[in-house]
Amino acid sequence: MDLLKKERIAVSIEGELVVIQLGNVTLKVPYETALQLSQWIRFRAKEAKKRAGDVSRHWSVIGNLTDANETRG
Amino acid sequence: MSASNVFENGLLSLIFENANYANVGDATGLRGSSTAGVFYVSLHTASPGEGGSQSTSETAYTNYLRSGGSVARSTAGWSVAAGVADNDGAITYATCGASGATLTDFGIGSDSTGAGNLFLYGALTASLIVNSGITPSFAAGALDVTLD
Repeated sequence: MDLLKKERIAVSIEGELVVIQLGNVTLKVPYETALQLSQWIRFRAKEAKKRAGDVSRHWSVIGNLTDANETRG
Repeated sequence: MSASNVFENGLLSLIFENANYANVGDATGLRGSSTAGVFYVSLHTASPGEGGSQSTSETAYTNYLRSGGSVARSTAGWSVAAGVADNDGAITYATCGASGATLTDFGIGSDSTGAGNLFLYGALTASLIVNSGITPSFAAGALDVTLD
């Protein structure tokens, strides 16, 4: 499926699974798969960016902030 | 023109680990700071934007101190690999008191208080509603800076 327009995307976790939401499609994958997928996506995105003639340097900054009381268990 | 993987890692390492980036100009290359210092990670209720400072839209939940988000500019504070810098240890802020906030963004800058110098900023993977008793924290590895 091509997603040629910007779709609602979200990534969350469910136990040991990573839940990927692409529009109306939900994928649940093991964390090992998600880590591998993230590397592939980044690699291909860099190729696509080059093909698009986008030579800008792009800084991506993302953080997952949680309540420390929950993670302490 | 594109940046090589070596360049991306070298630049991130210079900025976050204060490591010299060799072979730029001479063998030693671009030097790290004489005093490595720390980065302060600030929490915000909206994006500070490209023209913003460390205090733009910064949260003011009860007990919040930006100084709680200090991370050393060294390999003890950050790890750089495969074009990504991430935090080595948990970054934990003061527990919220009476007045809360909804946190949506964070920044990385130079100062523990005031406008300071905002270097990088980004969105949280999900907003965190902070109210009394909540202790905001980035777990080790939960903060990623990628250069592509």
